[in-house]
Amino acid sequence: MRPISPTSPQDDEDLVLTDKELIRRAEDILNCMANAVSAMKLFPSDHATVRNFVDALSEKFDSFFKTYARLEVGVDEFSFTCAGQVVYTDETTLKSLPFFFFKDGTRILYFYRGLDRRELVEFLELVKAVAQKPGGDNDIVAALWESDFSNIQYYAPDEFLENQILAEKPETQSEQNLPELPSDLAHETLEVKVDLAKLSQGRIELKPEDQEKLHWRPGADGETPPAAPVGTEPEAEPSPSPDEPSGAAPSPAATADPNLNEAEVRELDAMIHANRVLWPEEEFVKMTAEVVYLEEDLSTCAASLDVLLDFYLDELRQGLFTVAAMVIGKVRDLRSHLGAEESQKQALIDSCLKKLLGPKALEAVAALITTPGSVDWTALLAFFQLLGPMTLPMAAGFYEAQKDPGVRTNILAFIESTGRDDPGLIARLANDSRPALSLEVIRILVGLPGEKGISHLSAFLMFKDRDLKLEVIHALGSRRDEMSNKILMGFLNDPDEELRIQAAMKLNPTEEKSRIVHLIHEASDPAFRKKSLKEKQAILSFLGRTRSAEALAFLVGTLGRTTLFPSPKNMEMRLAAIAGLESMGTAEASTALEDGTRGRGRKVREACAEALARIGSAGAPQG
Amino acid sequence: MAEEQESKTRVERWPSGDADVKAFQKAAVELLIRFHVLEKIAKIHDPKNDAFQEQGRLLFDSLDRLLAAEEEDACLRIRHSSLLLNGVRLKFSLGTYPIFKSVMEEMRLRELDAVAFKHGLTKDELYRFMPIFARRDKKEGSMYARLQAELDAADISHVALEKASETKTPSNLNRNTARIFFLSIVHLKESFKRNQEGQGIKVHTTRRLMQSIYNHIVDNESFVFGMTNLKNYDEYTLNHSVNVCLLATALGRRLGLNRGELVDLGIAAFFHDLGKLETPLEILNKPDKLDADEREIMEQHPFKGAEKLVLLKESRGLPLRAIHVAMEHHIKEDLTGYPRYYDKADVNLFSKIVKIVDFFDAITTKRVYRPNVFTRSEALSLMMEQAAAEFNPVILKAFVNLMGVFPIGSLVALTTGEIGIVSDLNPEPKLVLRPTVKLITDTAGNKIDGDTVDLAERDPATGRYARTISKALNPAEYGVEVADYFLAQT
Repeated sequence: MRPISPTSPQDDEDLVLTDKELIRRAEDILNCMANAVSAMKLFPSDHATVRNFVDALSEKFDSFFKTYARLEVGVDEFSFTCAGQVVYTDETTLKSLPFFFFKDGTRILYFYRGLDRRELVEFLELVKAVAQKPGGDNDIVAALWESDFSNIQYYAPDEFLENQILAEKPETQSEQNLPELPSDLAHETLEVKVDLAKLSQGRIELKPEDQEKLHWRPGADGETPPAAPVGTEPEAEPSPSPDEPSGAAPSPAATADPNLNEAEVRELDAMIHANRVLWPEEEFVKMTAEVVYLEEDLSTCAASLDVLLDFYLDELRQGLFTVAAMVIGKVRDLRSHLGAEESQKQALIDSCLKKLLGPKALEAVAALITTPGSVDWTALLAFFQLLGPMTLPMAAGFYEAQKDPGVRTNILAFIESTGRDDPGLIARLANDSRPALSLEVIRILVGLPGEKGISHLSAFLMFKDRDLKLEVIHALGSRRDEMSNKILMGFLNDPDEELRIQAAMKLNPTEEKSRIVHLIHEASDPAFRKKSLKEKQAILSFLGRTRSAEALAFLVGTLGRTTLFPSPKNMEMRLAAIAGLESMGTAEASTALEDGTRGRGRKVREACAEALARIGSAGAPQG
Repeated sequence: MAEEQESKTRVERWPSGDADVKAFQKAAVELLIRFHVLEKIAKIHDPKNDAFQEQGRLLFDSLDRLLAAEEEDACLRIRHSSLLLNGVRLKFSLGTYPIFKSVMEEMRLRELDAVAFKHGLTKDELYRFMPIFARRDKKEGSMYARLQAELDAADISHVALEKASETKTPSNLNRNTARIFFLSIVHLKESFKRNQEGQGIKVHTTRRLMQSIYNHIVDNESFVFGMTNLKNYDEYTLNHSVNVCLLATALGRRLGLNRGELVDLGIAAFFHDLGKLETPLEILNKPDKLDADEREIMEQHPFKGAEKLVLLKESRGLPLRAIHVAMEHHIKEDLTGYPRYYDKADVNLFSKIVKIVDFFDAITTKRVYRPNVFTRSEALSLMMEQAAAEFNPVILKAFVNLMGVFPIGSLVALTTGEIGIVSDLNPEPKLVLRPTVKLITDTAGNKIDGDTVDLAERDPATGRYARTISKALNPAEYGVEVADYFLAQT
């Protein structure tokens, strides 16, 4: 097989032709590459324009490598060269591809046969990614080195790095309290000088003890050589003859078998793997905590804790709540390890904890939630658990904003668990602008054991949302305690008549005399007459349900009150009284109703009869 | 469409999933080992020899399997200090590194970029090829040209050679390596100064420097090791930190760390003694034993260094493990040592690596408080004896493997009466006692600028080894500055 070389010249004429062809092809490739890079900067990688350029470039390389094994591209400041000829130029610094490579020290790029589309795309993506990085991070040489392409190499002489390092030196060596650089390092170029003459002048006389240890000296008779050490057997050769100069015994350390056995290889692999899967954030926090633990100087401790705080806030701003939670846990743990004699350091840590659990944390979270992107709700809520009740308002806002039922469920569970011991915190989350959450708040408050949550439902008396108030009324109506009644009584003053009616209907019988007296007093007020029939009925029905003597007397009196002239309001009062007596359902009430069937007013008489009939069908009157 | 199909097929044929990749790597490394072994045998045995026949069969079988699985020829290629088989970069392990190194050196000697075994290769052709390849004639002219001519003459048509293409390399590699060494000291000094002034470290420059160090270790490892014999240049801590960085990176590479990890390790090792900026010079340079208070201050430097790294604004750009290493490089394998953690119960891998090389460099360096210094061999022995409690035994073993029986820079007396300095190790594990040595005296003890001799070479007349190491000497006792002999090569 004919050996392959970058060019395959046969004679001078062929050389000229081949060079021209090489240059033409290189020009073609590099123009295409520049276009591909430009396209990739403008469009996403799967855009048709990008794909077309990349396809074209890949084809050109494939075709090139059919003839040549390698493309060597010289990198000048604003141009690429091949075989000494300029093949591409772009002097616009900001976008010039040659300059992009040149600025970081690249002087030659090599593309080898074997370069396929996959590797080419990786290379182009790398160029694009690095070009978009800011300032000191956009080093293409560093990126190429890290990428370690199999079929793309580069030459970047160390002089570039040397200039960079030397440029960072101070202008003069007159910095205070610092030793001067040795003279050979103080020059711009590093010239290392050794006195060669010194190395080949004089003698080295071995000490007697070292001479004794020699097993063979010129002219000495041969000696029996010692056995070769374990693990260092010489090659399978004829054994050294008795007069073969032998080696001295090597160091004890080196006689051990230097090769790792299988178990050791596995152990090594495990160590490397473990190192690779370290959680870097956790390690950073651990190390910082250890540093704080060891440091005695308080101001330095504070500085380290500030670093931790900054780190914590950064992580929060990125939505890394698990990390943030871990920081809090770690700081608390550190605190617990400090003894009483370190009270000042304890105070520092307490201050740090306060900041970790303070408003800035919430600000970071709030800023994050407003930006699009997915949030790890589980991690966020776990983080909120650490911060405690101060996060409830934020959680409430999230609930309203989120439509995902699963997320909402989790947020509710958080709210419920956090506010369980102080229902007022939960109650305060409800307001007219959070109808969905407010409904849930009602449910939670009602569901709390005993009357813990009920009293807080009074807050809804001030709400504007009708549905919410209705919900509260229904919830309170299902209970049979004085607190519920008290709140329901409050709804009797609601501006909305339907709510007032519902509240009245939901009121439960009470033995609280003052409440009955108060209601009778209100019902006696002329203003009461202005209420609708339905409302009057609802309220007087409640009075009836109390089955109290006061209520009976009021209802009987109201039923029997007639006026000289027809009065619709009075009629309604009498009809409402009938409803009250019907609700009461006692023997006395039935007697009153029977009397009513014989009283004035046809409507009243009919109503009483109907009421009696309903009482009768419901069962014997209670005596 | 056809092109797409071809492209797809080509990609699919290559190792794709993890299992495929592993299987391919395993088969490829096995093939490489067979090639290496047969090449060694071919140097001393003819093809009729039983050992040659046995190893030849194994190599042929490996090749046959590969050719059957691939449409392409089996092409072993050097690409910038890596070995590729059919375009796939082969990864060495601690055990196979010498083989990789040896194969690459043999190919470079023969001015080859690639050797391809083609479909249709017969056993006979392979058996005829290997002795031709193995022969290393010291004649004038191009080895490649001679090799190619011999292949043509032997009518070996199923093995193809690719001549090495010239790639731009530094004109004097040793000089460049030395410059990088001193640049590292300059950069570290500048970094320390910036830290003292409350400024940040130029992480980006440090990263580039580590990449360059890695490149020099790959291209010129022996000389790099030679440079680590330079001690107490400028301030001890600076020189020492650079030595630790070089040794740690080399060791990490042997252990199988990837490039990104090696840069991180290098940076971590580079700054491992940053905390000494807080240690008073009078304690650092005290000629006598430290008292209890002084020791306590001294033992703060690890956490002080870690603290400095934590407080650096650029700490996010610095590898996390730099903080580990600064903190942990004096914590022993059994978690004693200093400082004592209140909670953390482990030591990072990088810390274990740096601990070993840090100790090694420290005890082989003369200090005002340590007038008697260990030789490199003695240091390794001492470390092996203390292995279990002090160092991780696996990593230490790897380090001993890396440094060799007579580490580069060892001053040795030879059985001829000559004295030399070990300049390179023998890659053959069985020839660890036979490194390459730069002669610095003649047989009578007169200093000379002598040849560099391979102790594995035999006298053609007698078949015996021409020279053997009889003893390692302590350079300090003979006033020999080992580093000067390496710097003289620049």
